[in-house]
Amino acid sequence: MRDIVDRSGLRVAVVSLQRLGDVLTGARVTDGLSRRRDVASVDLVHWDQTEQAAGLMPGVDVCHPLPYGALRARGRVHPLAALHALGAVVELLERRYDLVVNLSSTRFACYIAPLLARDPTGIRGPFMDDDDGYCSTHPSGLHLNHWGVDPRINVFAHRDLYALAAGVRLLGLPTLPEDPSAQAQCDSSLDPRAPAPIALHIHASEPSKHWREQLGVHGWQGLIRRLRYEFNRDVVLLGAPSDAPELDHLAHLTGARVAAWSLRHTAELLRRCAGLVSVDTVTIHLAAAVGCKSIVLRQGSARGNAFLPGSQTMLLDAITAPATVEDVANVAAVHFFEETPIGHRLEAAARRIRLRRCDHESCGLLGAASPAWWPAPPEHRLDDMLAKTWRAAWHHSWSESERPAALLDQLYRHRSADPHRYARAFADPGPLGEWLRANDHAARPAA
Amino acid sequence: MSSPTWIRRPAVVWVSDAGDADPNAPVGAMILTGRQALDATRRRSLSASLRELRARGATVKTTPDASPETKAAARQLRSRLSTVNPARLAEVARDIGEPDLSEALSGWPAHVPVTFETLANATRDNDRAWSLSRTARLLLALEHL
Repeated sequence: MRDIVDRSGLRVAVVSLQRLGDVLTGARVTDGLSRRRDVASVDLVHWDQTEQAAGLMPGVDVCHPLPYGALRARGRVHPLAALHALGAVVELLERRYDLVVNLSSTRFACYIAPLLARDPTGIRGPFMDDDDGYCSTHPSGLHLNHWGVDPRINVFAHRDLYALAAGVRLLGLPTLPEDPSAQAQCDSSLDPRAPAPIALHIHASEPSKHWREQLGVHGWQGLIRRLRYEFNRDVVLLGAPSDAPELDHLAHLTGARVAAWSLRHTAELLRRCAGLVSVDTVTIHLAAAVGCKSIVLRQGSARGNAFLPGSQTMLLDAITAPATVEDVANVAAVHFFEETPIGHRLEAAARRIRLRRCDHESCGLLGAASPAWWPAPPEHRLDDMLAKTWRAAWHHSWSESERPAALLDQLYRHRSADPHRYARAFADPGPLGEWLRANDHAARPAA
Repeated sequence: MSSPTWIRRPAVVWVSDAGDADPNAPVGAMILTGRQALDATRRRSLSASLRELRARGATVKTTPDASPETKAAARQLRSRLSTVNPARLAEVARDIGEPDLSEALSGWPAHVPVTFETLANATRDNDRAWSLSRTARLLLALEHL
């Protein structure tokens, strides 16, 4: 957290009542707001369960943890007990802020956010108005609410929608500040003469995001051995302190090391790693925030664009089956160690998994596309291109009044290849829907 | 600024043979002997501290090896603090400074469950359709927690 300075200016609250990884994805917002000349202070309102992530956020002066478990527990006893507790918590923050930036589209946050603002005009992002209607001060907030996380239709990383709603610039991501105490722990745990290790995070927050079994040659045990021997580097298993016994067992079988540390210390460790292989979890956002390359093994609800962590990330999405040990090792060779890809190893993999690299596009939005060396099937390349076109079209519709004719033509020509997105956007009441309908009407007679 | 300490601690009334000397009592609990618990239940109205604990959703606990008398006293106090009856919730609403809710709860229809949503509806400003009061906002937020 930055030092509090005594200067006049706006008092800002950023509301991020979400999970650990979601809190970290708001780093660009807290950092961007804190750099504004007219801002005196930036406070972060978050759940007490995300204290570790909140403590890492750049530009934040004071964190206000709301007691999630305690509120739930009181609600189970009787509603007034929860009301009493929430009222006491909110009272401490009520009407204290000139600007309230809500990064959470949950109803809870949307009801609470207006209570924190001195003035109803001081809200950014989604909120519930006095008529109990869902509103957003920027179309990106409504887009997030309507299009959500569905991997078939959503094309935006949520972090970009947050930044747009907060009015901070898209280009560039802040790097988490270095931490001397965490550096000391890494110094004592890692051999400075040894090559940078590879980090692995094996535990997902929900079973549908798990990659493969822990033991056996086809699971994490096999992957650890393969990475250790193929790249001649240490493998460090990451996880929460509560994961330590399980990780210790896996380490005992494979010769890996265990670093079941706090997020602050894990961030420092990731700075020193050659790369991270992980399921979809907070660690991928941490890696992105310290500039560590990563490979994310995604299946189930983890797919799609909503939770893209940042550039320098490779996404391995299961199509017919999760990536194999061989797939991960091949991608690690290219992504972490810049080895030349070997084509015949990749052809079969490209039928089972989808590989995409995250990068910032020219307008600053984060996208994902198959790298040139990956033998992606044509439909994946087309989907990459269309997702990029949709991002540009939506972004344009939120900031410009002129119709982007070339983008609309491209979307129209490929509408049968992208029916879900096209149909939803076509019916959208905003400018893009209007443009698509006008474009469709103009193009049909000629078609 | 953190939330008040009482919110982060479970609200507990600990009824014990040993009274204040009981080392098993949770941190922050109100500790009563069996006799004190019984006295509290026999009084016409609850003490201010017990009313506050009831408003915080207090549970009444005792050790498994407590004497039968202490267990019986804990049971009676638990029943006295229970808010199953909406009339008791009306008292609680008054105790936490919510007179409108208190009024609504005192005449609560038996067939309507007391939930965050029904309470929020009861606090809406009827003159302005769907206008949300502060209390309604907090209740609806909790409904979606």
